[in-house]
This record gives sequence, C-alpha cells and structure tokens, in this order.
Amino acid sequence: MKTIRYYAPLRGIVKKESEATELGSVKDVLRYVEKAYGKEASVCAKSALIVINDVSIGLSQGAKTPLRDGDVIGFLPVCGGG
Amino acid sequence: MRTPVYAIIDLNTRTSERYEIEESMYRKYIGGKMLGARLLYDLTPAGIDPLGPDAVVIINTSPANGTGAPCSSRFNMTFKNVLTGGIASSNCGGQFGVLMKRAGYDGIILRGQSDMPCVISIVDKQITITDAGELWGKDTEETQQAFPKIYGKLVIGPAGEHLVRYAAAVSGERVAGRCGAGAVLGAKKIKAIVAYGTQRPQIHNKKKFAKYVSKWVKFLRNHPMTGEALPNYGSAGLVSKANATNALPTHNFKYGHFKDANAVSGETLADTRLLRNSSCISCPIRCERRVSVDGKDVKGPEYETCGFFGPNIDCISMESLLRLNYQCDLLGLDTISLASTLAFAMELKENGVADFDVSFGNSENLTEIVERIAVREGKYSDLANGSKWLSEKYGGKEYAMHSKGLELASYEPRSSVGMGLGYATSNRGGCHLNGGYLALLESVGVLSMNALSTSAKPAFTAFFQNALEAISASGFCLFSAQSFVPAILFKLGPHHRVTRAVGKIATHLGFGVRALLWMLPILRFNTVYLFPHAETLRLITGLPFYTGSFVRLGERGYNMERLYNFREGLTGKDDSLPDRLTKTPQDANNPKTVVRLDQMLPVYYKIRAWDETGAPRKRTLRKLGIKA
Ligand code: SF4
Repeated sequence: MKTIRYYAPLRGIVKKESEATELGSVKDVLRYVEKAYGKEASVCAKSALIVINDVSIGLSQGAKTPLRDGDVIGFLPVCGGG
Repeated sequence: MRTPVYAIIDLNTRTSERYEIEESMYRKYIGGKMLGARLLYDLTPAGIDPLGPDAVVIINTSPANGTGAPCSSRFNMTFKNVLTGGIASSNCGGQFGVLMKRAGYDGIILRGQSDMPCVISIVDKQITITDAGELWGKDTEETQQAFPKIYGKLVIGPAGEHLVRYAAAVSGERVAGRCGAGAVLGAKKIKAIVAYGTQRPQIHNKKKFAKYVSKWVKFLRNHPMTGEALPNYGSAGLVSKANATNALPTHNFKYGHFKDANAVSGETLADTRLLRNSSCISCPIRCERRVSVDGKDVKGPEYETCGFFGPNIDCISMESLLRLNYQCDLLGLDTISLASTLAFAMELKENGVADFDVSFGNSENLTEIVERIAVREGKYSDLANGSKWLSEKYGGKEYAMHSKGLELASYEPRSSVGMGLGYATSNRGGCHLNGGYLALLESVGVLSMNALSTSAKPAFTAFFQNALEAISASGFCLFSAQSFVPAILFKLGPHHRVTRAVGKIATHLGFGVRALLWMLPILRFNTVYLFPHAETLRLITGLPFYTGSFVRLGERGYNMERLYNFREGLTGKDDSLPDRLTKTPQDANNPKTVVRLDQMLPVYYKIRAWDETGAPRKRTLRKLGIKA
C-alpha cells in the first residue's frame, strides 16, 4: 500500500489530508487526482512540488517515477524565501 | 536636493551633533548598508577592536523607509563585524527605523563608550542620553515595555550586555540578528535607543509614486510567491522544499536530507501552531507567523530557525523549536549563529573532543544551556564566541560551518553549488542573502538550474549580489524581490517541461548574464516584473535610477564593502568554506556533490574585475567612483 498526502492548497480542493492507494507511478496518481477530484485539483497537483518520501521527483524520474509499497507521495506547495 | 541628515552621538561625552551627508556621497551610496559601509570606512582607522572604545556603529535608514512603498520598513546597522573582523550590516524590519526618520534623523553614528549603561532617546530632533538604571539585565521584551508604545525601540537583551559575539539587537519582535549587532551596542553600554517624531519623509514625485505603489502592491498580491506562498507558510515553508532537494542542513551539514523534517516544516507549523500571519510596517506580503508559546501570542520562527533547531541538530520537536525561538528573541541572540555553534559543539562531543552537555537528537536541555550562553556562564562562555573561535581552540575546523567567521545560513551548498560560491564571497561572511541567494534558483524555488553545475554560477552570483545589495540599501525587504520569477512558472509547477527547460537554459546563460553586467549603463528601463524597487527609488529621490544603474549601484556597494574587508585583512584567501563542503561529497556515489570553489572563484573574480587575489582593481574602483 502507498499513501497520497495532500497539502494546502490542494488539500482544500480534495477535502482530505491523505488517502491510501495501490497506483504504480506518479503519472497514475496525477491521472487519478484529475479523475476523482476534477480539473482544478489536477492543475493544482501538477503545479505542486511532488515528492516521494520527502524527496523531489525531479531528482529521480519525474512523472515516470514508480511507486513502491510503503511510499508516501506528497504534493507540496511551491514556495521560497528564507 | 535634501540630503540625509545624521546625528553623531558621542557616548564618552554624552553629546550629539548634526551631520549632513554630502550630496555626492548620497548620490553614490544612497543609504542603508551601502552608505553605512562608506561611512564606516571613512570614520574608522584600520584594525580597531569591534567591541572597543574606537568602534563606530551606524544605524541608518534608506530613502524608501517610511514612504509607504511595499516592504519598505527595513533599517540597517553597520559596524565592524564581531565574528569576522570585516564589514557587518544587519537588517531589521522593526519600527525603529521609520520612527527615527520621523524624529528627524536618517541615521545615527555612535562613537565612544559610555561608562554606565544608558538609553538614547531621539524625540523630535532632540537627543538625550540617560542612565539605563534597572533596565540593564532585563530581557528585550521587558526593556521595550518600559517605553511608550508609540515609540520605535531598538534594544539589547542579556546576550548583548554580556558581549556574546552573535548577540542580536531587537526592535519590536524583529531582529537585527547577524554579525553581533547586539554585542556592539552592549560594548558601548547602550541598553536601548528609542525614537519618536512626526516628520514625513520626502517624496520627489508624490502623484506618480502613489500610482506606482498601488500597481506594485497589486502585482505582489497576485504573484504566487508573494501573494500565496509567503503569506501562507512564511519562510518556514522552505523546510520541506530544501529537504526535497537535499539542501536542508542535517547533523551539522553532514547530510542534506532529514527523514523527519516534516515535523518542523512550514506546513506543519501552519497546520498545528499558526495563529495568524502578520507583517512589518507597510508590507502587503505578510510573511510573519504568529504562534502561541505558553499561551502567549509571539512571533514564530523563520526558515533558518526551523532548520537549525530541527534537522541540523537532529531534533523534531516543534514545541521546543518555538520555545527556543522566543527565548532567543528575549535574550537577544541570533538563532542562526547560536544554533549552528550548538551543532558544532554537538559534533565536538560526538568526536570526543569537547563536552558542552549538548548532543544531537536532544533538545530537552537546550533552553537551559542557551540561558547560560547568554550570560557567559562558566564553560558555556566558549559557546558565546561562535564556531570559528571554538574550532580554533578545540579543533574541528573542517566541520565548523562558517565562512570568514559568520555561520552559514540553512542551505546545504553541496546541493546548491552557486549558493556555496555566494557564501564564500559574501562580504559579511556566510550569509545567503549577501551571497546572492542562488539557492532560490538551484534548489528551493520553482526554477531549477542544474544545482551541481558550476557553469553560469559565478555570473548569476555577481548579478544577484549586486541587485540584492541595491534593494537592501534602498530600504526594501529582500522578499519583495522574489516576484522576479515569472508567475506562469509557478502555475506550471517545477516539474513541467517548460519550467525545466527554463532552468536548463539558465544553467548555460553565464555569458548572457555577463553581457548584461557589461550593459548595465544602457539598461535604461524600469518594469514592475523585474526590480520595481528601481522605479520606486527614482520616484522617491528624483535621481535617475533605472534597472541598469540600480544594479550598478549595488555593484558599487559590494565593492565598497569588499574594500573595507581588504583594509581589515580579509582577502581572497578568506573566500572559503569548511572542508566538509569542498572536499567531502554529500553523496558518496556522486563526486560532483561538493562545492568546487577552485573552479568558480577565478571566473567570479574575473567577472567582478578583481585581480587574481580577489582584490578590487584600481580601475574597477575608478569606474565605480569609489575612492579608496
Ligand atoms: S515580507 Fe516579511 S520580512 Fe519582509 S517586510 Fe514583509 S513581513 Fe517583513
């Protein structure tokens, strides 16, 4: 089992903090978000910083990154400034 | 033209005199840290002790302060850096600057040393110095409560009184944190400076200024960075971003990723502890967090504090982090230098070198230890001297995480090598902002240049160091500059092919940015999308500032500060980082994960037109109109 974790603003649209899934890749999860929660959620998910176990998918295979059992995929709001 | 009016305050004689800045100096150095550097260079001989009687402390404002322009409340303190021996500028968003200006002074120059603890009061041009009496020994909150609410205050806490080398000065709940700003006031026995007045700042073209300000405010509110991300999460929102790209210092910078970082992230802070957001005066961004500590509504932590009292010491307690943050504000301590020094002490203990009763993964006794550091009690007095000093006494230089003596900010540069170059060349020491803040383009922002490539980094570093210098000297908060990344890229997101392509192209744009630096004199345009600060400064002062001349202004400031450093004995040899960052790869399987200063520094010096030792060439200074 894998977990999808939502952060604001996506959380406000899907109305949940997390959910379990058996999907196999980031791409599949993005497709699922669009199908289950609509266009707005999809746009929001795609513009987020997507992390698997807190590491950016940009450091692995991007949207093609596979999900393994126990993985947590998160959609973080992009931000900067320290 | 009205030029800035300063007061020279002599603590020895408790007298003051008016000091008008010459027009030519004003035109060249404008205010804040740049004018501060020029004045410090001119008013002090080389080699003085930053905490001695000959030291000079300049507290000054900038043209934009108090005008109502966005994010324009930041004032500056310039002095000889207690930690590095070079230049120090420390910036603060508290109300003091605006009220000092309203009281009739654009800046004050503090000389001499009082023999008794004192309070300086500046009310409607009148300057009086009185004994501090029982205020000495009080924390920053109690001290400020002793004065009328409407006054602007700048005070020190016990740490400044005990000359902790990284003591901070505090205004409201905002802090001039870095370089020992509290220590230099403590050395002069100044407990508090308070100001009040009603004078309005001058604005050259009021009508156009008002119009432009509302356009800029609208732009900031609509930009995803300044209108959503910063208001929602503050700078603390960076914890998870830095963690996601291996740029979050962990275990005293040994690693760049912490598996439990989420416990102290901006998202967790927002979900579990945030009361509301707030802001400095006249700021539409409102990045400040308000949190509750022991039932009290206080200012929450910035990113650096979350990172350094969290992953960098292997701790995951949000509760303890909030408490430490508030405690540091009360005692008047810089959280970056303090927490980094603690991490170094933890590693000394781990290696069996010295034991200060602090260890990784344990934050339980830290409030007690911090209290002792602030009053230099017993062996903890060593910790009050910072990590460079400690490493010289006990060893461990390769993992004392500072540059020139100032502890690095919370970005792991082996995953942001341009940030590494910025740390090494930053005039005030290991500072991300004075260093050009390339981490924003390499690892923690929406855009991702190749974080491990040295290509283009020297050019980008020089460009942004200059730009941030000018923005700061004009009186603006540097967060207001974060809207230069086009909003569309935030909408597309960091993984979109367009965003990735822009990042890739930027990695090869070194020559383009170099060309831009050569072309500064002809870049006679202003746009709200790049540096709205230039147009705002033009409308306030009536001086011909455009994008190009604005960045050139910053270049002058950067070279002026560099000149001061060279005079005080800091040279190119000090443009360095600890061996951990330059010799030990962050990822043992990837030799590229080190900061290749040897590759970047020669190119950087060339771009800056400095000689191979890193000294500004005579013709460079002449071109910039700087008199040595
Ligand atoms: S962005 Fe934050 S730090 Fe900057 S002026 Fe606004 S509230 Fe202050």
